[in-house]
Amino acid sequence: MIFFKRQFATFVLIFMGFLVLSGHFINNKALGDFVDKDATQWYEIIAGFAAFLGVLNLLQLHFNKISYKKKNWQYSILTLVSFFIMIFFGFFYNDANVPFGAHLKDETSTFYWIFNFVYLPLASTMFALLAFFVASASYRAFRIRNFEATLLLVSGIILMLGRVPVGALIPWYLVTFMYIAFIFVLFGHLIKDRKIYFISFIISNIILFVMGFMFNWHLFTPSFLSIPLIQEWIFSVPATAGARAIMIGIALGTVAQSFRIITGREKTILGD
Amino acid sequence: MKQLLIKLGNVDRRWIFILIGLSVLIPLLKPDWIRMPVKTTTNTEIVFNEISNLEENDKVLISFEYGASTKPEIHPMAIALLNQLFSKGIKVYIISLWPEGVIMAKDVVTQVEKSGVFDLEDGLNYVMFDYKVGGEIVIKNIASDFRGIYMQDINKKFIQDIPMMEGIESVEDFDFVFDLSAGVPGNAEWVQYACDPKNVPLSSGCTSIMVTDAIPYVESGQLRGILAGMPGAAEYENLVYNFMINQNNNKYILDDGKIYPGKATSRMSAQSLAHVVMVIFIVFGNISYYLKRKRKD
Repeated sequence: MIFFKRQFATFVLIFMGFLVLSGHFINNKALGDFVDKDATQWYEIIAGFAAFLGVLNLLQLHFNKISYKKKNWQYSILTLVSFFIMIFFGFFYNDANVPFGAHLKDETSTFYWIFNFVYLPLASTMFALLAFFVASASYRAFRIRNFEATLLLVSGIILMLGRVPVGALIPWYLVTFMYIAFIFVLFGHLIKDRKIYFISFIISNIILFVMGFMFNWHLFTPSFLSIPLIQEWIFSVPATAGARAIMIGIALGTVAQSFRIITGREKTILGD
Repeated sequence: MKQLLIKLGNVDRRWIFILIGLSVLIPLLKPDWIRMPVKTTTNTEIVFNEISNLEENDKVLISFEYGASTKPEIHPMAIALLNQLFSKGIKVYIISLWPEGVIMAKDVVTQVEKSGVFDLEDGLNYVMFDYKVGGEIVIKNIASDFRGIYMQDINKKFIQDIPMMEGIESVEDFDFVFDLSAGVPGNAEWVQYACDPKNVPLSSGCTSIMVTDAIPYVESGQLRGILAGMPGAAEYENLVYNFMINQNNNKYILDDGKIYPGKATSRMSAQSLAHVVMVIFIVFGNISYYLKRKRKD
C-alpha cells in the first residue's frame, strides 16, 4: 500500500510531468495531440470527480463540527441544511416545464428561484460590505507617515477620484493646488520659518493660477492637470511596471516549483 | 477648531458606515438629484472600436467567468456587449467557465431578447454552451479542439445540427474573443493559453480590482482594451447606446424596439459620491494625524 502511495505516485508524477513537458519541445504529432487534447481532457474528467471529493470533505467537516460541538457549530447546521435543500431542488425535484437538468437554468424552477432571490442577494451583500470596510480601513491606514506612505496616499486618492466621473469635474487649478500642497508636504521641513512657509505656499499657488490663465489651461487642460488622465498614466506606467515585476517573479517561482515537482524533489503534494 | 480637527481623526467607524451607506443609497434611490457626466477613457474606446471593426456574420466567442457577487459590475458590460454585437449581425458563441457563469449568461441573453430590440433565434444568432469544469485547461482545449469538449449546446442539441457551428474547430475559427471575468480563470488565462499563442484578438471586461493585474496585457496589446469595473461598464454602455440610437437603417434593430441606457451609468453617481466621501475622510484623518504628531513633538 505504501508503494502505491509513495513510489508509484512519484513515478506517475515524474513520468507525466516529463511527457507533457516534452510535448512543448519535441515536434511529434502524436505527442502534440496527447498534450493538447488527451491530457487536457483527462484533467477535465479528474477535475469533475474532484467535485465529489469536495462534497465529501464539506460533509465530513461540518458533521464533525456538529458532533463535537466545536466553536460556532450552529452555523454548520445552517450550511448543511442549505446544502441539502439545493441538492434536493437540483437533483431530485423539477417543477419547471423543461427537461431535468435544464431546470437549473429555467426561470420557473424552484432551484433558479432560490439562486435568484436568496443566493444572489446574499452574495451581492457580502461583496457590497467591502465598500464599508475599505472606507473605514483607508480612513485609518492612509496616513502621511513617511515618503512611501505619502506616495501611496496621493496615488490612492487620484485613482479613487480619477476612476469615477467626479474626477473629470475637478478643475485644473484645484489640481495645481494639490501638486503644490504635495511638494510643500514633502519639502516643507526645509523651510524653518512658519511665516515664510505660508507666504511661499500662497505665492506659488497664485503664480500657477495666473500662469494657467495665461496659457489658457481653462480651455485646453494639459494632461498632467487632469485627474482622469493622471489616473490613466498611473495605471499604464507605474502600475504596469509593478504588475510585470510581480508576474515575472511568479513565473520564475512557478518554473522552479514545477521543476522540483517533476524531478520528485517536492513531496508535499503527495501529502507529506 | 484645532480640537475639532483632532477629533475628526478618531471618528467612530459607525459614522463612516452611515455616511458611506447614505452616499450610495441616495443617488440610487433618487438618480435625478445627482447626475454625473460619464467620460470615456482610452481603454473603453479601444474595446468599442475593436467590436465596431468586426463585420456582419463574424464569429465572436464570449466567456462568462463571474457570479452573483460581481454581477452588478460585469452584467451591464455583458448586456451592452451583446447589444453591440447583435446590432452588427455578428454570430455569438457563449461559454461559461464558472458554475454561476452559465446562469449569468442565460440571464443576459434573456434580457437582451426581452428588450425587443432584436429578432434573435437560438442556434441562428447565438449559441450557448453549458459550464465546463477545469478552468484554464478548458481554455487550452478550446485553443486546440473546441468540438472535443463541446459536443452539445445548452439545449442538448448536437453541434453538428447547429448551422452556425459549421467550420468551428478551435479558437482560431473565431474572429474575436471577449472575456467577462471576475477572477481565475480570467483574461490572463485567455491570453496565456489561447488567444496569444493562436493570434486571436481578445478583449476583456473585468472587476475594478482585477485591472492592475490585467493592465500589462493591455499595454502590450495582448488584450485589445479593457472594460474596467463599473466605470468601464458605464462608459461602454454610453458608447453602445449612442451607437444604437443613431442607427437609422439598421436591419438588425427592430423599429418597435426600445433602446435604453444600461444600469451601470445610473450606478456611477453612487460610486462617485462614495469615493468623494472616502477621500474627505482620508483628508480629515491626515489633518488630525498631522496636528496630533505636532502636539507630541
